[in-house]
Amino acid sequence: MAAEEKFDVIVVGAGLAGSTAAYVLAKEGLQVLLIERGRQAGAKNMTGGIIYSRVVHEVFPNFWEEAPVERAITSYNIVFLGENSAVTLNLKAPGLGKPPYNAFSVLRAKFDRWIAGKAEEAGATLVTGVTVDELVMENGKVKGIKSGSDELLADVVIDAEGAKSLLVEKAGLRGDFKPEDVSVGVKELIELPEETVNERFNVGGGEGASYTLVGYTKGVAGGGFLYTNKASISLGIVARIDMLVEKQVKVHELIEDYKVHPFISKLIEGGNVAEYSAQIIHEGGIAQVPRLYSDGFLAAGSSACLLINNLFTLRGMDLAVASGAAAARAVLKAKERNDFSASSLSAYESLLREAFILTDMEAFRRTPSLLNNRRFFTVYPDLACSVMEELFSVNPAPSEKAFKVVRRHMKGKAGLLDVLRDLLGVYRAL
Amino acid sequence: MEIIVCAKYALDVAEIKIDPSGKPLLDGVPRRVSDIDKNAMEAAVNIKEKQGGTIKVVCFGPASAKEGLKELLAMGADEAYLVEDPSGGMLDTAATVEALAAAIQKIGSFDLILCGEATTDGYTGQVGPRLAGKLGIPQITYARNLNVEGNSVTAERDLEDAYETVKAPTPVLVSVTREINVPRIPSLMAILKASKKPMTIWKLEDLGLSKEKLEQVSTLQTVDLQGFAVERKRVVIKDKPVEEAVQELVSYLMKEKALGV
Amino acid sequence: MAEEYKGIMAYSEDRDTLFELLSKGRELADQLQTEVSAVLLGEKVEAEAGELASYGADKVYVVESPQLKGLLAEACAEALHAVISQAKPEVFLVGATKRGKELAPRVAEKLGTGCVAECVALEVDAGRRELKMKRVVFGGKVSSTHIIAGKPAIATIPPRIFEKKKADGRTAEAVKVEAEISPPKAEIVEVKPKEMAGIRIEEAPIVICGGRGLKQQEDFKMLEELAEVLGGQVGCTRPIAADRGWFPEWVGLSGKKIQPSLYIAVGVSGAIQHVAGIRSSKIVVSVNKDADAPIFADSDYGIVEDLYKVVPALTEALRKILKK
Ligand SMILES: Cc1cc2nc3c(=O)[nH]c(=O)nc-3n(C[C@H](O)[C@H](O)[C@H](O)COP(=O)(O)OP(=O)(O)OC[C@H]3O[C@@H](n4cnc5c(N)ncnc54)[C@H](O)[C@@H]3O)c2cc1C
Ligand SMILES: Cc1cc2nc3c(=O)[nH]c(=O)nc-3n(C[C@H](O)[C@H](O)[C@H](O)COP(=O)(O)OP(=O)(O)OC[C@H]3O[C@@H](n4cnc5c(N)ncnc54)[C@H](O)[C@@H]3O)c2cc1C
Ligand SMILES: Nc1ncnc2c1ncn2[C@@H]1O[C@H](COP(=O)(O)O)[C@@H](O)[C@H]1O
Repeated sequence: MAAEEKFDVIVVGAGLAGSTAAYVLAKEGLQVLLIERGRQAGAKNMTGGIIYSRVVHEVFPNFWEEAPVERAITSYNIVFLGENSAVTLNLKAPGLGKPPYNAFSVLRAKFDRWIAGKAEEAGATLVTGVTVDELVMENGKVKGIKSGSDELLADVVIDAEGAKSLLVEKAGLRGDFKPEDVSVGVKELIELPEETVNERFNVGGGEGASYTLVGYTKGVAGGGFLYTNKASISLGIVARIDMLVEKQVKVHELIEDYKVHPFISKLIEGGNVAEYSAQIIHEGGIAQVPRLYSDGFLAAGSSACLLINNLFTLRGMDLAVASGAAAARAVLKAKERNDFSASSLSAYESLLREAFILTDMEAFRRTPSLLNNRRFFTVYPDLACSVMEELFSVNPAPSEKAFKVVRRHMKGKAGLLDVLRDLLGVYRAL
Repeated sequence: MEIIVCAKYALDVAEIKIDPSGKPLLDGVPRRVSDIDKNAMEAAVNIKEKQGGTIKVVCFGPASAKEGLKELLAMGADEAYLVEDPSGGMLDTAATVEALAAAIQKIGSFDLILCGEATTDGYTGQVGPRLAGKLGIPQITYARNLNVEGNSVTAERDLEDAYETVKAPTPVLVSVTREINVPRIPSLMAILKASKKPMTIWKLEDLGLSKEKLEQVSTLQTVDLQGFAVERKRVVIKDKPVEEAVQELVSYLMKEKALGV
Repeated sequence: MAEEYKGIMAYSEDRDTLFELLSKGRELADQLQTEVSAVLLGEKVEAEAGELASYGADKVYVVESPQLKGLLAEACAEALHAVISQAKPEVFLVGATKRGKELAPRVAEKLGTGCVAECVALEVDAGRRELKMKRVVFGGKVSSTHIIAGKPAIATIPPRIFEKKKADGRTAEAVKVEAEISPPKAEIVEVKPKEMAGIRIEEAPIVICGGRGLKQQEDFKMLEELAEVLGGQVGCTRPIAADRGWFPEWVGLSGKKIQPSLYIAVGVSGAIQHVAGIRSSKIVVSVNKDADAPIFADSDYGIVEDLYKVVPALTEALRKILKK
């Protein structure tokens, strides 16, 4: 079916990457169609999380004044979970709570709608409740999209459909994912009154806390997170699919375990689980990033596997915004030449580099192998907790030196050499 | 056949939260087209596809109802009319009917008015019959199927104890059940086309009405709203052999004295 | 002007429901120190007036007309309009059967007054002569209380909300109302009665409710066996009754509201509209193979498992204990 309408660009997916791309393009006067399969932008995005401000601020200056952010994160914690105890490292710095801020907690249902609204305001046409099924291809070139029996053509298609990225595969830019490169993330949104959140986390004035949880995952490579929204807490876990299969553990069991762990249970006590969601996450790092463009086609956000998981922070949202903007700018340049071939669109890659996305990812290129090291999930969290427990409990027996305590607890679990090697690994990866 | 569909842009009840004191939090609750009104629209489109005609959809509601009307245009309505409710949804069904009737009179002629059996939020089921009464036309409620032949409409009503087939000459008002059909999900092209279909927005004054007039018609007052708080124990038995799970359940039920032993 | 309106009037084409409304009406009328009246509509109904007195009616208004054949809403609304214009009750209670639910608003519109649908509680403030009407809104999440400034205040009330109370030795005055009723434009072409189950599910102490998890009608036999062992009744969700026609009625917001001491949901997802019908159950049990089914949040006890395994096992286990 031929369209009466002709769009310059079709963007698939009104997530952060897609809506940002549509916004930048529409602002420059291009005819943009933004297609979202959810009933609304954000309707299917429960993942939410912590969005790092820097790159978002570049595209949407002072966005926090207008966007529905939950809390400015001013307290960062890493928690090693033992059987019944926990060791916490805490970072608090006054600068974190001032513009341009370091990061905010956001709820995607609201935040995505806001960005999609910006795109619409700028003149993009947003269509919701429609799924793009296929690409229209001609001689290996992308010409448009198909949804049901409808076909629509455009000069360029920007794929921003998130982690499943079926269109990237259909455009021939990647093969199958390797199981060890894919994790599954689940998240629960636990509602608590705003005052309770303030008291429990010792925060106020729109400020909030984030916790990275290490250990207590039944030996599965992965880690958890917990952070504060305005009147709720997000608790989640990201775990490698291959190891879940190997250990015959289900992710929801892991999150249930978390919820009864003494450290976590007292933070979420009395809360009401309002949402539960699960989604895949790419862990392969820079090595997994597919070719990002072909004739008439660009991929942005997590459909291009743009994600940094360095064990302590999970960054996908800011990369999605930055890559959406970069993709749009590449299209604008191509439009000047009226050439939408792969070579004309290749400017995308250098724009990504300028936005520090690829450079950031390259800097962390060793973290995926860090995630392969099981000691991080099995031995060290318990070790940290039992050592601390022993050092701080007053025993009738004569005191040992700390180092000796550590050595004793490590026995049979990890050799000293392993530990040194792992420490070096962490140092190099981060 | 000239068809008018009445559709409400209702509160999405799934999104209503209750605060700890038991008060429902209604501010900022998202809205959606009331489920069964989509069945009414689908019924209209089915008739139009078979015998031709026009479909106009009318809504009395907030300005944001434009979003819902777009969806109904994409399903197949030809024109949409929104009568803006300045009260923020505080009026009763009598006032709603006053506004809808004025809009329908301004639109002009019609053969068939389609409503849902009830809305998903208020769930009164009153607007259809009231509107039929006000316009002085017959009504067929709880229709589980609908047939149009010439100038008469036949429908089978789903009552508690019987299915009752009723025939009425046009003009007539029919309210449909959610079982009458499965509402279509608009395609991409249908949505893009819908953005070009006419949508008329009327203020009450455009219809010779006013906020004061509607407040006068609206004699119902809400004196209290209280969320239900039934706290269940939520004991879930899983990942156990069936026999064991059943035994566990039975012993709980015995402890609760729920079995009379 | 409001002074003119006095007394409580009740109407339902369903006799049992009318008795319930009269019994409740009597109670309210005593508080307001006023009269209770009933309305009978039909082709030939005067003979029934006597029985209504024993449930509390002081007066019975009777409208007889060939136009009332089949009780079409158009005609009934005209008849009730005539009765109310003559009798001027301050409160008008209508049975919330589907016929009553479509009739009351049409009458309210004619009278220019308000109507509260499907009330679950009524209360009068004798001092202010106000009727407070409570109903359930927002898919069953919230209860709302209303008053109506117009006269009469009209409320519809589902069957089985109030108890019927018989008092012998009362008499009522029958008043025939001559109403001009225009011939209804609609006509009833056919009536196909539904096959009704045994006792009313609203009265059962234990209810086993089947949902779309049951693949075929035959599978309900399994639930019937369980119900028999427990001494309960089988019910179902809306799609089972209204889509598939396996049962005449269903449990929920748009169906029956029940209050058993034990309710067992089998293959029911637990949509908010369904749960609205079971909020007054004492203990809720559910069986569903999907651990994320919302029904578990509204249950006291749940088993995550295939119902085809659980139900026979549960029936067996209970049979042993209850020795049936
Ligand atoms: C549990 C979990 C926790 C996370 N926490 C954080 C965190 O704290 N901080 C952080 O920065 N990142 C986090 N991430 C990562 C982050 O969510 C992603 O990197 C980010 O959402 C990517 O944005 P996107 O716009 O590329 O894709 P998405 O946000 O996935 O958006 C894709 C959109 O496209 C739509 N869509 C998909 N397919 C189609 C189709 N065929 N047709 C039409 N529409 C389609 C979808 O409905 C969706 O709206 C987390 C991820 C998970 C799973
Ligand atoms: C205005 C309005 C009013 C409504 N009123 C009512 C009402 O009064 N009453 C009512 O019931 N509904 C009502 N509904 C419909 C309601 O929204 C739901 O659609 C309906 O309750 C779903 O019925 P269900 O649970 O039988 O089916 P589904 O939602 O399809 O659930 C079936 C369940 O069975 C489980 N299952 C499947 N196979 C098995 C197995 N082998 N073993 C164990 N479990 C299994 C599935 O996991 C699923 O959870 C209303 C809807 C609207 C819009
Ligand atoms: N505000 C409204 N605008 C248009 N139609 C409405 C409105 N409210 C109710 N209706 C129609 O009346 C039916 C019954 O609604 P209700 O009486 O609110 O349960 C709905 O299914 C709609 O068809």
